[in-house]
Amino acid sequence: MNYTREIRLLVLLIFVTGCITVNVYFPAAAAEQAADRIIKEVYGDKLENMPPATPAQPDDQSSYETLPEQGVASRLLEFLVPAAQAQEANMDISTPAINKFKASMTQRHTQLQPYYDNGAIGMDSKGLITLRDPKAVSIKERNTVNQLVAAENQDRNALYAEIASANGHPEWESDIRNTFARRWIANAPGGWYFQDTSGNWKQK
Amino acid sequence: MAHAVDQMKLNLDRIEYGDISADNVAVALIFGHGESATLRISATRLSLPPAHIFEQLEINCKEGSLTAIQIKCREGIYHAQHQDHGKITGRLSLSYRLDGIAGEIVLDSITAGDGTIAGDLKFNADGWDAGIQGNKLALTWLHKMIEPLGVWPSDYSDESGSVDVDMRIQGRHADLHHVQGIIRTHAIGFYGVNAAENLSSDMNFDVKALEGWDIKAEGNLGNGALYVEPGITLGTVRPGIALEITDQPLRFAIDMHLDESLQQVNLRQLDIDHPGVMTAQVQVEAELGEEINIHMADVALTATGAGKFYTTWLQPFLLDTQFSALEIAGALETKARITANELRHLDLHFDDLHAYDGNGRFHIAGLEGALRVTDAAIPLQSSLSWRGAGIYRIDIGAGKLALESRNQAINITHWENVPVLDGLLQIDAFNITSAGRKDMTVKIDGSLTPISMADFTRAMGWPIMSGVLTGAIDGLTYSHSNLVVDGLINLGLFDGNVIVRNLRIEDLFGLAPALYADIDIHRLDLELLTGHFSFGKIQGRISGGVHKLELQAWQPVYFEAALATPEDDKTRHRISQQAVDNLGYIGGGAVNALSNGFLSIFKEYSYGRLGISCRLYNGSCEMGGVGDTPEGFIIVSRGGLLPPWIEVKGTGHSITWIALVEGLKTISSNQPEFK
Repeated sequence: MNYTREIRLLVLLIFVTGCITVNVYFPAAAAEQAADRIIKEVYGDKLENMPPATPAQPDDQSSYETLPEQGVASRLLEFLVPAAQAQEANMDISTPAINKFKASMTQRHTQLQPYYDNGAIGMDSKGLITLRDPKAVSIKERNTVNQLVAAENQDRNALYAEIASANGHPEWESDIRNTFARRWIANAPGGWYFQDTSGNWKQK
Repeated sequence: MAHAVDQMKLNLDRIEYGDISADNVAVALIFGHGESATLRISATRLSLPPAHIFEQLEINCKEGSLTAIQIKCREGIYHAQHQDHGKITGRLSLSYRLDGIAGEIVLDSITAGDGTIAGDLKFNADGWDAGIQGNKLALTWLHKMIEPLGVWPSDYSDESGSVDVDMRIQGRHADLHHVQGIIRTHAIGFYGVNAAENLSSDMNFDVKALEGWDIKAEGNLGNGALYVEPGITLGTVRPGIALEITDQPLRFAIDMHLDESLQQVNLRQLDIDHPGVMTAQVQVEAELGEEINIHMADVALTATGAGKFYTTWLQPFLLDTQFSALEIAGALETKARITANELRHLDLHFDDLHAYDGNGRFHIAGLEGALRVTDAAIPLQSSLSWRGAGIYRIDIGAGKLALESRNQAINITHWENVPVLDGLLQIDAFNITSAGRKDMTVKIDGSLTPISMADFTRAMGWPIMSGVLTGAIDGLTYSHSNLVVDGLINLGLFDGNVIVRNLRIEDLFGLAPALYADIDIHRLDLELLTGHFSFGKIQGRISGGVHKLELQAWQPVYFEAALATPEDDKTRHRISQQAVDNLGYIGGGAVNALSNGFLSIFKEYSYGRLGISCRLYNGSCEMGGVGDTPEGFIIVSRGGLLPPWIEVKGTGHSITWIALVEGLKTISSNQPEFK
């Protein structure tokens, strides 16, 4: 009986330590804000109409599957640890390379949009896009779409690596990729297709 | 003579052969007059693979026989109820051994959808042999019939058009041994991973099971469009060939072997004749999988329409490379051999080839001649010429090279100096090693004869500068997408010199190249620098450098720059009013010149030293000058022999890079007030 309190403390310690590992070293909220700014610009939202970049509210994710790293533990920790650290840590997304990728993706988006709209292409769980329904693309357009998808994925891969590198943490690349993967979906209009973590396609 | 019996009847509860079964089979031999007898066969249910069920089957044979060994039927008429196609009726003849080890059935042509189909099947202890002859079989009908076999590819839709089929299939039990025949398509369409629109074609084929599959086929695509993915993945891309045939048919012939795992492919011969685009003969031995391992490949190709050849046959395989968005015109011809994934021999001929990179990184016009590469010790000679070229914004003029290749290296044995803008690139040494491989390396030593700085800075989209640029380039190496200069680039500029050291450009033709360099600047003549330039006249010399320079996507992200009048400079130090004003632009307006008031009536001033420094970091410059003040720094210090004297100070210590660049743009767009 005397050990019960110690065990509880140990469990709490393990729980908190595990969470800190995620949040202290990767500024998830700042990354979401940064991702949202880039994504909204690429999607063609007017910057002046953008709400101040804030971390996604749980409601934002009600329309798609919550991914594992957005679990209860991390949300609890975000509540327990006043977001001071996350909010203070800004992500630098203004390097020339990031601007170039963003401009290139924004320019390409108008060409991609019809294929998002008709479900030919969808957003995968790795922050990339893929041709999910070839039936929706005529033969004449097949290679154009393949080219657009390949170029977009090259830009996206380079963007994730560059954001991590520009912020002095190349090891953040996969966290940034995961953040973007969620935010591409969250910011997408209804009707577009996305892939959940099990690889199943769903329509937003 | 009267028969003792007028009818013989045999009832069998069930007959089975492999997946074929019949229930409640009744065979009746009905004797008429004379020697003739009719045969009636019926079954309540006949099941044929894969899932065809016929009920209430009845066959009436004009001539029949029933012995203890077998049943025979000639000129039979059958009626049955099919689960999907309703009542069917047709003519047949058959024989069947009652011990079940052999039989034969021939079905005459019957209506199948909008077309007709006939078939025959023979089986014995050695196996079975079936034939199908279909005429104008609708693809939708075929889909319905074949889908239960599990061989119709999934996730396809919108089938249209029809096919003629004449084929024989041999096998034993469920194993397929040999398929051969002809398939002719009439304006077919389907949509899936592969797709066709209005495609008319014909093909002869012969497929044998032989330690895998031995496949021979030849045919032509006469009209329509076809998209085919060969099923390989390159990077993140699954390339596909999109063909649109309008005028002359595309002809092909293939002879290949695939092992049982479908991973080892021996393409003994692939011939393609795509009129107006290319002809190709290909042999490949390769291992398919996540990475394609080419043991051996021989390619002989003539592309009469290089543009269409690139977009149709080449571009889909280059989408994950730097050559994904070229615009090409002209013609080319090549023979290449790859062994163990390495290019061993290349014989590439160009005929007025033009290539422009859609991303603006390079272009070449009027390329003629040949490029030959060999791994053999006996040298191969070739030569190339071009009418024009360019890398990024730098235009390169016409050029000509003679090349010699052996041991996978290319040496340039003769060259003509290449015009670069209004100057010349004089090449002293030029060689390429590991040509065509991943570790291909290009090395150039050379020098630049005078290029006007106005042309160069205009081409680069920088503020226009005057003067000329000359220089030596030692040990320029391009490999693995990176460009490195081992030696120094020595530029003669404005009667001084500029030395570029440690120049490295990573991912030169990539999405966002990164440039690193250190630049030392020695005693530039400011009068020459500013004399033909709208900055305003400054007399004197300036030295310093731009160190730890880092550009990303050709935009600076870091440097430590400092330029100042050398301590020992004995030249005349004069600065014009306009130059003083423009120093204000550079400082984003944070400059106070003690030339206001009555001093501003002068057009020139004397100065002691002039200097400015900037450490660019995080989008801002930490500014400095030739001295510090409590509020900032001194850009121009008092001094000089003759009055009026001037001092220019900057306030604050930093300015954003954007504001600094805007300031420079403002200066370069101003018209000079005097010279």
